[in-house]
Amino acid sequence: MWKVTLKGLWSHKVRFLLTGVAVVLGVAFVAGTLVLSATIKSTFDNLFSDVYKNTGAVVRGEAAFKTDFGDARPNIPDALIKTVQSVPNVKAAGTVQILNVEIADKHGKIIEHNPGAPKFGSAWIADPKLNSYKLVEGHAPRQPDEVVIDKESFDSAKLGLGDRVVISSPKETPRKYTVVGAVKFGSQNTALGSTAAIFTLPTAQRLAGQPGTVTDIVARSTNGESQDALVQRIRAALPTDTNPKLQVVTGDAITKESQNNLDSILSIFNTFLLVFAIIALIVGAFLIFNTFSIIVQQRTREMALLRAIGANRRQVITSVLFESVLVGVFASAVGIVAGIFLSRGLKALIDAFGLTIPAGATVVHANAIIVPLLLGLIVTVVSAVFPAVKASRVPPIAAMRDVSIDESGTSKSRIFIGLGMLVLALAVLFWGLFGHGGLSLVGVGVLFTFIAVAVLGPVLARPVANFIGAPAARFRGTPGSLARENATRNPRRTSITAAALMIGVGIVAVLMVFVASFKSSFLGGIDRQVKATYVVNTGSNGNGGFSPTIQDDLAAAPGVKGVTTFRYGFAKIGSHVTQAGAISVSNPGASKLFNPEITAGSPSLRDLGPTGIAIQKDTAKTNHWKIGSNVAVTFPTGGKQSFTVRSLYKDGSPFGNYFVSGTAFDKGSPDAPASYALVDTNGSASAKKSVEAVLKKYPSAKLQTREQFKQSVASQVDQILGLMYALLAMAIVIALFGISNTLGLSILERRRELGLLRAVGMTRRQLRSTVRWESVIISLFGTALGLVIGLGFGWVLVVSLKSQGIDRLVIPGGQIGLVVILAAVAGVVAALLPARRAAKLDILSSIATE
Amino acid sequence: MTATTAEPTQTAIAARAEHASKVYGSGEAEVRALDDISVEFQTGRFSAIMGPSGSGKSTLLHCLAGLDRLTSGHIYLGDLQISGMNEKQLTLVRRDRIGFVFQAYNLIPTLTAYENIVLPMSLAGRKPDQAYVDGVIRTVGLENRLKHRPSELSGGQQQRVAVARALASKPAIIFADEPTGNLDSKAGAEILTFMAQAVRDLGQTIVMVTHDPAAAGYSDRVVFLADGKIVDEMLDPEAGAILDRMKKLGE
Repeated sequence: MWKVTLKGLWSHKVRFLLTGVAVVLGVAFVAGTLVLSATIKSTFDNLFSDVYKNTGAVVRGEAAFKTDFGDARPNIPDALIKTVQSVPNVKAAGTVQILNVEIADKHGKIIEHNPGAPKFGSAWIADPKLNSYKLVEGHAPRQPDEVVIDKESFDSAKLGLGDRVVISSPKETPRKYTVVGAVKFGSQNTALGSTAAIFTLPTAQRLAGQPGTVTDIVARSTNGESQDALVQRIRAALPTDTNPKLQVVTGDAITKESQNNLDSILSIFNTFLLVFAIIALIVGAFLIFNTFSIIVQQRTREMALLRAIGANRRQVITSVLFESVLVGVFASAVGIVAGIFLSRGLKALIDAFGLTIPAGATVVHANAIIVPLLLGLIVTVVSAVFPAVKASRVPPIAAMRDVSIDESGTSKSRIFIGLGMLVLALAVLFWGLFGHGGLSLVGVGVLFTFIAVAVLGPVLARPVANFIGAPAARFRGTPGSLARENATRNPRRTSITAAALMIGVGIVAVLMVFVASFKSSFLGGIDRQVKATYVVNTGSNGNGGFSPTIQDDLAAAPGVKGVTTFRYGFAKIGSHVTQAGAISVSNPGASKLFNPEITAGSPSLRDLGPTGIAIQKDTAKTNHWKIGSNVAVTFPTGGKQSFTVRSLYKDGSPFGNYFVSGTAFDKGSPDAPASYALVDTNGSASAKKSVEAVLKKYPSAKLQTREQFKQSVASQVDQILGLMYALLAMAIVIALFGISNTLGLSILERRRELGLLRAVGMTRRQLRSTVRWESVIISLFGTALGLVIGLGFGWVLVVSLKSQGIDRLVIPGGQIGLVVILAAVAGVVAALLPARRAAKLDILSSIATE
Repeated sequence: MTATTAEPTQTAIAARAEHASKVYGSGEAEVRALDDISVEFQTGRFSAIMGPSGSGKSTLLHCLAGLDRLTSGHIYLGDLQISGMNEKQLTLVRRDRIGFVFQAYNLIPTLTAYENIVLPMSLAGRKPDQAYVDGVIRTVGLENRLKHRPSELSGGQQQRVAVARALASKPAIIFADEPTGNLDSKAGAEILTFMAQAVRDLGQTIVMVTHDPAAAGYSDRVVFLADGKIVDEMLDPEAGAILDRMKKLGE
């Protein structure tokens, strides 16, 4: 029996190659994702171990609350450095970490080794063992205006010792510093493409906006004691009544903690990519199912013969399953190897969409091999089970029958089961969306809806394909009508092939509706809320920001009538951690620049005071907060405070659901830069000039009109959407392989009639056209199903997000039209090879009866 | 090479092979399916080609019909030389000048009987001569079966559709390859009667390959092939005489 199986595989190698391709692509995607995230993780793990290599203990403030990106902690007083240093046999230094410290080269251009890589600022650590940077040129910074920079920046900007460079930070306008040295990170000229600017401690503290404090204190022991012993001794030396409360932890614990924080960020990223990989694999499963079904159908004779000469049902099932195991293992193996290469491609793709992630040497863990292998194998074998069972039911008499026409399109039980599944799937979906089921239930509901429609597919295939094919039949003559007949003659085959495409198109359609509605609601919100002449925005994808001093500078500029700035930082409000906004208004008139439509309470956000908070009304409602309610707010610095709700407003996006005054924010998040400033001028050209003159001092700030601001918000959304489309492309490519594969198999099966057509005078061109139109009809059928489902889901999704500020439903007609056209073109492309193969069929051998 | 240029155009020859040879393989494995055959088939006649298996009778038919190519020699349909034509030209010749009846799998399963009958004309984008087509359909008795698909027709009915298709486009010549090979004797006799009738009443030209003496008995002339050569021919043959001749060939 095994010998028969192996021979069967060999004689159908082309079909299995095509089936294999589907598995290979899906598995490669999964493997590539796992390899990429392992590579990123190992890159950072190595970095963290390097940074804390000689650190025995760290003193820091107790966490105020947890965020998705790690704990939010207050800084600690720098007087404690002396305290720790006075512990016997201990070397210690205070660290200051500042993000978005930008070094400009001689031409005023910001130095960047890797787009999107961080730009660090820090304080010089004198002890060479505690300092993860190593001086390779010049000396350490000693004066307030001296700086040491990373060797990569030093070399690439062709700087020399003693050169003056302009450096800007989020809390300070640009200033000139003298380069007095260059450092390496370990043996590298740059740490993962980041830039580094290292100052004296007081300068770094000033740049961080937190004079008199440090981020933490790092210490090491000089007597060889254990890290725990060191921690004990330091703890004993520290005062106990400090505000904030102190924490002393070992260097190993910090390393572990940093790595774990990164893991949780990476797992979000990983899940995002894996979702697309799994979609590709599911589409692949449809293709495998279809291929095995067709092959089994075509091998009816062989199966029946095997049964006739005494093979039992179990042996027949085993034979098909064994084939699928071989295909699954082989294709998964190829897919894993391809995935290792694909991981680089994925990184390049993500980089291309502006989300640069550092990655060192490729790391392949065992799970990047085992997981894809198992997934590939399971998907292949499960997809082959149904055809296998069906194969075993082939009665020996079927050996004599010719290729029959499939009647599954009319089966009553199919309609019943399909509709039942659909109702169930939608129930799960709605429960997930509107109940408290959560996102994973929505995913399950979506998946099952697709499967239910795939089950109903054969019922729909004939009428829908007939309808879609009508123009082909009418205008393309005999090839057109033959194509239509061919597309409808085997509804199950057509519908499964189309279903694979349906999934990809369906998801694209959901995204289209969601994003169009989101953009429209969002941009509409900006139109309603922003009444200023200009918006000052951050230059780099919303990262970083500029110094809050921009407000006073702008307000003082001639021709400026008012300025309102926004700052954001994490805070724990009530029981959950979120982004809190601070609003600073330069004068009473300026409060009109931003109008989120206040619905209750104080009509102006200008007068929130030290303990007032304004909350978006739906958010307030969910939390049962009213005007006058007390709300507990914890900022990273300053502990828990009670705020009073002063205003409720309608529009939460894009400026946020919570606002406190700038004064309150300064106390809680002193290091947070400004993200936006709204500027109103008298409209004159000279006013614009004076605003531009102010902005020269803020290199990361960008002046935009309201329209430009909307454009930049929209283009950020488009960028993420583009990445999602690119990731979905894999699923769609697999689906097109599916169409190609099905057509190829159908052509083998219809060899005789194709030979006959050619004999009685169908030209090769007409034959190719027939195959092409069949492909286009299948492709459009899948697209139509996908669009119907996707638009439906999109609609439901948008309705369910009404409370999140998505208040407009937009069905993007132009984009839908484009998808249909692309689907037709894709159909033509998928038909290229099968059509060529059909046209090349030898007439005589095709019609030979024996 | 023979001097065949400037042949008279008023010839009553529908199809002609001149020094036709077809060789498969080479060296030791060389098989001469057709060995320098020259033969003519007159217009308005029902001719049969007979011979034992491997005699080359099917190869001759395929070459005459433009489905296969000669190794050397020439094929003419009327005064049109088709040997040397390219694939596309041959396809158009088959579509516009030739009718086919094969032994089995004659019909496109997705098309109705009527669509199958007019298939060559629809492929050419030509309007069928409706009166003529209706006449053909009446002759083969398919008036009530036109909307049926092949799977809903009996074997005999399917072959009648095939014959109707071959006739419907008024081709210059019809080639039939064992048209009754898969039918019982009653259905086979019906088909052969239609074919003979078409020759007699409509002036059609038919060349049929068969190994069945009874079938050949319906023809006006039988050409006997053996080992790729024409070994004999018989005019207005009778089944009995053909059978005797075939027995001798088989020895």
